Amino acid sequence: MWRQWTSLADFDSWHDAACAALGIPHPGFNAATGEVDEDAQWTTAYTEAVEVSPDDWRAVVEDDVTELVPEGLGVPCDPPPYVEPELNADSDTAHSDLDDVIEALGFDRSELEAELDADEA
Amino acid sequence: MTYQLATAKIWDGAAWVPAKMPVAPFNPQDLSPDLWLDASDATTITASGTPAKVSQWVNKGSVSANFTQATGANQPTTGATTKNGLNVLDFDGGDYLNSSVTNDWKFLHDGTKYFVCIAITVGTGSNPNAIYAFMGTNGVGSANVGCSFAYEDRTAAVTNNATRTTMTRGSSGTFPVDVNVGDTWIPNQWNVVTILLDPSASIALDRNAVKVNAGFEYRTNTQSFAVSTANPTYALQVGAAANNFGPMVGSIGEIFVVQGANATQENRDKVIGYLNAKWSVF
Repeated sequence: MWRQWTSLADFDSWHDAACAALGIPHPGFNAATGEVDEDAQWTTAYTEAVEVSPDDWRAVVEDDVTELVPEGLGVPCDPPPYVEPELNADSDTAHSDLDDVIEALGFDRSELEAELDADEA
Repeated sequence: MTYQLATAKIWDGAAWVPAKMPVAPFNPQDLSPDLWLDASDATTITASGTPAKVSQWVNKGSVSANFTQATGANQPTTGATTKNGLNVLDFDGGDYLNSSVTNDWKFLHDGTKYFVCIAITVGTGSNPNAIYAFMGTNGVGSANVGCSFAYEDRTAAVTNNATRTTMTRGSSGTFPVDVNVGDTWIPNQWNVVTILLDPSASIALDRNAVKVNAGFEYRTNTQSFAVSTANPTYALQVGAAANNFGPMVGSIGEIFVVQGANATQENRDKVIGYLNAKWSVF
């Protein structure tokens, strides 16, 4: 669930407490042997804050951590406003529609359908 | 030589029916994959906590890149879900694993021929109305350089259960490849999804070939701009399209990327067979 803080300092304060409670930073364990793998990527943060505005910082906090570190926790909120990267307009995008393929190959659909009808007859 | 039995579909004169076919043993390493991530191989996974969160997934392919995530809330889960008795990694819509060297993945958009094969499931229902990217280097934006691959079912995009390939060249609105191949990929169930790319092919249709499970091969790309030979904007991200865009909800069993002379339809089909035999998908 997304949570909201009014300043980065408030988020940092809560995040420091969360990391302490979770023992972060910590190394991981090899899933096959169960042995600590000091050389593999460590977990060095719990979550990351996204700046929506100077007084609006939001981060994902999982339910178990919400219960573990309630003091200073941000209030529930919506995810940050979704800013979609530029995507190709649908009119510019090819689909698997048969018409697209027929057009790309330079055929006329009505002629193809007439041929099919003739074959079936 | 000891032959193995693989599940396939054969034409019995009236319909495609499942059958067990003898096949020669296939070792994916024979194809020298650049990327080979295998969730069933616990030796490649570093994790911690309960449920276990993945901080590192080692590439068994030739590119010496590990995929890492240092932030706990963005780590996928391991050891919680299986497919055909094998471990998979679960992504919750905010989980990503990142490589670190952009140049390693330039071949994904610079005109090199290659294929991607993945055993994957996305979504939690039959109509997600979402874009779930499973890997990429461009964050989908056309102003960036790179390539990304996704399940696309957004109402806004007017596509249904599509396999989306978006190759960009750092020039807004121009694409060497950009195609939604609709009605190929069923959400909330396992699929072997493959994309064979030849991004410099003179015929646009030949630039992108999508085949899911035992389905037809669709060649429907109509974009024909030249590729970029610059490094990608981002290093390869698994679980989203890079820059955390389009994070997937779902699970990944195994991913292959094979480039160059080994990137053939025949070898693509071998990997499909290998993944299906291993993960029992279709």
